[in-house]
Amino acid sequence: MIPLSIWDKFKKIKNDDWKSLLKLSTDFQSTYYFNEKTNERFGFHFYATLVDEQIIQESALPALLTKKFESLDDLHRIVPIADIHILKNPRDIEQKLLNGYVLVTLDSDKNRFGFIAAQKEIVRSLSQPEIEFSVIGPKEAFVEAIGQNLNLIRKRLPIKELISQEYTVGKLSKTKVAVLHIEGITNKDNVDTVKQRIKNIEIDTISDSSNIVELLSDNSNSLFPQLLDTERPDRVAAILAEGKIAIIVDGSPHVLIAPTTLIEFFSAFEDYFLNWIVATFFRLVRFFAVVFSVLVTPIYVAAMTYQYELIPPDLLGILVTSRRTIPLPPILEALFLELTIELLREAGARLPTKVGQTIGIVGGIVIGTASVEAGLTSNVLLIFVALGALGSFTTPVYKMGNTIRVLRFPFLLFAQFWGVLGILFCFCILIAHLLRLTSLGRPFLAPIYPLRVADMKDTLIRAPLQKMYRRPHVLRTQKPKRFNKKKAENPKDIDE
Amino acid sequence: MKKWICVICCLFILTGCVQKRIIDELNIAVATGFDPDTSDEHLLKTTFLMEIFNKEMSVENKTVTTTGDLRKETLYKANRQAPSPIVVGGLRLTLYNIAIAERGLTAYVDAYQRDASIGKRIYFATTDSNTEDIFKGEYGPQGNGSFISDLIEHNIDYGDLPKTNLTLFMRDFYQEGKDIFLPHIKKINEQEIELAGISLFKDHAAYKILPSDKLFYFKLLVDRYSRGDFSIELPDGEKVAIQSIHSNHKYKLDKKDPTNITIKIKVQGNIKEYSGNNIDDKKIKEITNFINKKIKNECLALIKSFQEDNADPIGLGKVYSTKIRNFDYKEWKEGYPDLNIKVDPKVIILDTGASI
Repeated sequence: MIPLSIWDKFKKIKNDDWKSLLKLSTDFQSTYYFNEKTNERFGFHFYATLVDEQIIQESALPALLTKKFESLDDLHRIVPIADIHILKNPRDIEQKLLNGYVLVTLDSDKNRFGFIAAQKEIVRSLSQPEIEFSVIGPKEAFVEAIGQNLNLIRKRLPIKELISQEYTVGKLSKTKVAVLHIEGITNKDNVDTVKQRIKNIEIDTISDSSNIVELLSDNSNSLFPQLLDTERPDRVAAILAEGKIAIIVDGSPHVLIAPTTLIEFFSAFEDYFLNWIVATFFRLVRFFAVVFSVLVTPIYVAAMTYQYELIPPDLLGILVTSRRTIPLPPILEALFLELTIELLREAGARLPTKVGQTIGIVGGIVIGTASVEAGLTSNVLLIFVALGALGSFTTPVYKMGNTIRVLRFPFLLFAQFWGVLGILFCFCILIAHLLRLTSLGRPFLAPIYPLRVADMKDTLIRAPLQKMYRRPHVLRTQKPKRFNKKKAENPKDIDE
Repeated sequence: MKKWICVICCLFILTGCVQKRIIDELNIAVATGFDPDTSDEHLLKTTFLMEIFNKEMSVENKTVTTTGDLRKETLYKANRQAPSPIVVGGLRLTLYNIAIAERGLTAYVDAYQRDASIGKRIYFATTDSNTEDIFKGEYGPQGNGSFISDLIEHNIDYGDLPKTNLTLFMRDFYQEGKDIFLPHIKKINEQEIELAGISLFKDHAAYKILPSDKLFYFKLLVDRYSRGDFSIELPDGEKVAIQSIHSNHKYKLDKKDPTNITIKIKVQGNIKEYSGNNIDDKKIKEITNFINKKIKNECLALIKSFQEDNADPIGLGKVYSTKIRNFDYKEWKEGYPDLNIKVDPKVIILDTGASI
């Protein structure tokens, strides 16, 4: 890549000398040809690694060699490529070349530059969603190329109101970031906020959309992700139609969705493909699993250390006998097991897939049983910790899963310090934090607080599609109604 | 920021203020018993029953007996005999020797309402014998404390024992217009124990034991059945067993003369066993009438005896106090033996079984 300061050098050099700096790169190529009709010399200058040579050889070069080529204006006429620019300012050369254009110079027209688009797109083919996999429903997932991702969304929302506006973020990486919304539905303030924040980003490189999440978040010190990321084009399309904003970042297979709410992180998109009763049941199971996962070990520690009165008499014998031989106090026992599980997860994540699976088995079975047999941990706690870990894996959004895993450690400490009272205290802190949290200025806990009963149709429960005829209140959309409720509720069969 | 540093500092400094009680380093008492101190030096002789859990999940009964004037005093004296501190948060049952109960329970219940670690659904009961002897028997694999409290619990749910626990006991203990009663436990031998009836109290002191065969009628008067059983011998010598009994009762005061009170009892049940031949509609009517009469007579006899003893375990004083303005309890109590109490039972046989 050419260093940033190159433009300063450009200023000093004359029009004819612009090549000398670019030539420092070995993949920059300049070649000269003569037109057969006019015998004029013209030059092709491009980064060989950025352009598709097939386009040059099959479309551009034959036309320029054989057809009459007298001035740069002829490019529009004779080259069968739509994206052709003719510019006068040598400032544009750098940007155009780096964007994959071929610079055409004509010896008789030295003050102007012709550019022919010949970008080479190295894209990977579409694959199945891996993080948000669903058994039912579309199997397409986003890839790294912004154009292809946009294509996947536009195919699902073929309306002219779907607006995509592109920005460049990162002084060095020049990452393309596209902001998508539906004109006439999405709240203008939200769109403006996103645009403003993207314009204000001051950073050198953007590696992934996760960087954008961090830079766009209202509170970047929060454990909770405030922008939803998804790899499913169908989810993005559905959420755009709901009146939210999507942010596509070039080079990232995850598209961001804003504003979002806490509840949204616990709804898998597959919920919408299942019968609403089944989906509601699964959602409730997921919520229960998350609460269980966060609270089960802290409650164990609190009950074991302070509040033995809480334990039902029938359970007392089991707990006392399982703990009798254990030398560690409950907190160390719990931390030992929780950290073991975290180690297993971390080791599994860092290793190649095949080795990772072995680690899971070795860790789960060998370490678990061995530590119980060695008398380091009680088997009751082992069950709780394992179930808790399992519960944290049920969150459909990976980042929220991580948050849930971290969340139980402060709870554990408070349980050790103050027992059940400590758990309550920690819970109060958590709730206070969540209440203050916003996503693009919209409340993060909506619709639970502020309570919007109409929005509850898509929270803990997933109401039938026809009942969800309103867009969420909290988004303050320009068109609050999705469709005509009466028509949706009274469909007419052909024989009626 | 300063605020947060303060809060976090407080959290860490205050951690030592909560007393740690790690579960396997405790002796959790499941039952306590109070006996009269034979040497008469102290007010209380307390027996703590602990359940020691063995590796194979079986339960061993361990008792510690001490004397003292306060309940807490006996507790810390008991700790001198225990390998780890005895705690009372796991109590399920408290037994009173009937000799103690006859003296009055006022001195013994105070600790129960002050100690927040004691559950409010534990059971109180009285017993004939020494409570230490009762706790030293071997009644079942679950341990004696659990055995006796389970015995009381299922007799409340499915049997003839009116609902009782610490909350209800405290309510009746302190309110005007109702005398308390407690289940009465009797030890048969080292392996067996039974619910012998209920002990009736007058002014916080036990005065009489109501045998268990009268319990059905007593429960009809004070509580309701949701799933009871009952069998009765008919005048023609046949016996009939009635199951799934539902009952409730209502008190009706005569508006003109409130000394007339009618207790309306509604009983519903199914005939599950009959020693005679077929049951037809006529027979059902006969049985219904007979049971009606039987309930009426037995209940009236119970009430009569209560009136004669000037005790009010049914809680009629409470009924009056809710229905009469400017109710004067003392005045009412004087007139209680002369109240004209009627019982109006209504028995409904819902079903007589599958094959007729």
